[in-house]
Amino acid sequence: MSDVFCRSKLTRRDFMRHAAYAALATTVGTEMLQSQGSGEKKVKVVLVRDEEALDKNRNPNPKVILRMLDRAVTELVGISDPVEAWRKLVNPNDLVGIKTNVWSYLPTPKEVEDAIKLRLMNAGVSKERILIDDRGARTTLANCTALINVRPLRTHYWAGIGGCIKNYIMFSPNPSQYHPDTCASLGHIWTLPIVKGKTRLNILVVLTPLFHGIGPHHFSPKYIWDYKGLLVSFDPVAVDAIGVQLLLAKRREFFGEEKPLPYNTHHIIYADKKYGIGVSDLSKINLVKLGWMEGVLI
Amino acid sequence: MKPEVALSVLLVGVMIICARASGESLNDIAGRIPNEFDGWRADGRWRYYDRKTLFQHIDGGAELYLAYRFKGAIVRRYLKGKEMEIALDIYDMGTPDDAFGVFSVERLGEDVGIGQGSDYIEGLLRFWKGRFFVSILTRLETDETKSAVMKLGGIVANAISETGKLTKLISILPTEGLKERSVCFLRKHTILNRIYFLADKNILELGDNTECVMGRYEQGNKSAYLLLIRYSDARGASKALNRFITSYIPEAKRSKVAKLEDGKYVASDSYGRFLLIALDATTKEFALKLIEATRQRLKEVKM
Repeated sequence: MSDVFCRSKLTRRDFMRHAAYAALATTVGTEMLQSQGSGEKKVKVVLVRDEEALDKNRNPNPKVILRMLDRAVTELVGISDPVEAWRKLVNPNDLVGIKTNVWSYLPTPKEVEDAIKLRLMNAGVSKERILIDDRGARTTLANCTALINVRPLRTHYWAGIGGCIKNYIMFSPNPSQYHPDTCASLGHIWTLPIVKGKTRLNILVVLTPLFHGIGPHHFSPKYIWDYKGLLVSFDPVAVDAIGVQLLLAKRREFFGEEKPLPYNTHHIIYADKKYGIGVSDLSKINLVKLGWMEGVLI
Repeated sequence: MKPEVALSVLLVGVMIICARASGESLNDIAGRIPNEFDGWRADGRWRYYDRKTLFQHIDGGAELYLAYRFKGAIVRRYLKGKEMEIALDIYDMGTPDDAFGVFSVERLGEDVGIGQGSDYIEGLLRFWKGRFFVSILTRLETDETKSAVMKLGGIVANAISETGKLTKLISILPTEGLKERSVCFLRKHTILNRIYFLADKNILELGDNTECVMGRYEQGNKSAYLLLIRYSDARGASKALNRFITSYIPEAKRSKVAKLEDGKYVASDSYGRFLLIALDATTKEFALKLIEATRQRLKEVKM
């Protein structure tokens, strides 16, 4: 870790000097993800895609979603049986909270929530010990001993992207305190006792990511696409860093030119370098790609 | 938006009375906007948001408005049929500079000649007039919804009777090579960072009482940004210049110009209570030329 990011002040020049991090804030190719020759241990992010994940109306296919989740989790945990893999994540005594996202235009699909619930129950957690919430998470999920963090990937008016890091903002007693400097301090939420050390899995849903928008209420069906994927990791920062790359790649393809995200995603870098909750440096992330490869982009 | 945030008309009335001190109120404007037009019908009452509650309407996006002198906003939806919806937001920004400021930092799309400055892109119409900033959005852009957005824009612009005069600071920006649509007004470093990330800390000591204008310059193959800041006094400008140099270009303590790691140049200087900074300049000469031209303008124009 470079200590420059631990300083009390961070300038544009710091980003210039550390191009790997600057990449997150602006634009980059995916070459950093592919240049993984060193023996250094990397953080794993699993991308699983399936051509059959959505029907023609963009409704998720429950069976396919479960299959995708199983592929991702078994790969991530390193155990071939999905139920056994989930038993490594939770135990029957856990009170498990699924932190979902209910944003009306692009909520966490029910099919993904159901697949998580099923595997939690298969792993021995009783139905009564599985809670799910978004806006009320600070109250309803406060006593959970294990958290599963799941939400769709989208561009966000102020934070640059809505990803796994930002999904915990509802655990804060005062969400708006995280808004200054384009949500730079979102990583701090992950150090609050209510969530610290509890997250067992981060799932960034990329079935139909939103890659562009204008204005604070932005959403247009024109700017989502059928990517039909899930990004899964133990590391919320790494999964978001990959999410940024995916959105940038799609923007590049769609607009025919480099089209950086209009809003700074530096909360991802801060989450790593200031709050120490994960890895943002693309050269330290091992992206494992499974399943359908057409149009994979990253 | 959270549904529980819908506040009562009574509260609107109370808050708007408070805002009456400076010219026409949001209530005055609301009263001039019809509940129906061309088959579009307002969906319930106006909702009111102030500095404390605005984030409940636009989440983190509220920070943009709060970084200016935002006083309050009224919001309502218009519906037609089952599918079509238009969201109308009217913001009292406190001053014309602040209304222009919010408008200026996100200029996109084409100017459609509504209010004192406007743009439209993909279902979103934004304009400013007087001390008010207006946003009208339809998420489902069709010929019909676009036409309705424009119509409603015209109605709202007419409902705002006052017009505003902008800060003379804008007229100080040298005109040669200036990309007119790039000119923006801001007060705080959080907004500067949104346009041009400089540092996470407030190294230019910007705040409620500073005024900044920024513009993009392109001349042939040369380009740069120019940032002009007015502090409350010369001491403030001098102090900010010192902090900027110390924090950002310490190698330029004497020369006031530095070549950065990306090969571009930064130059800075102060003039009375003004701080002048050229950023991202492709050549040293272009950076210094912009600074000098701005100094000349400040000499010519009484501020």
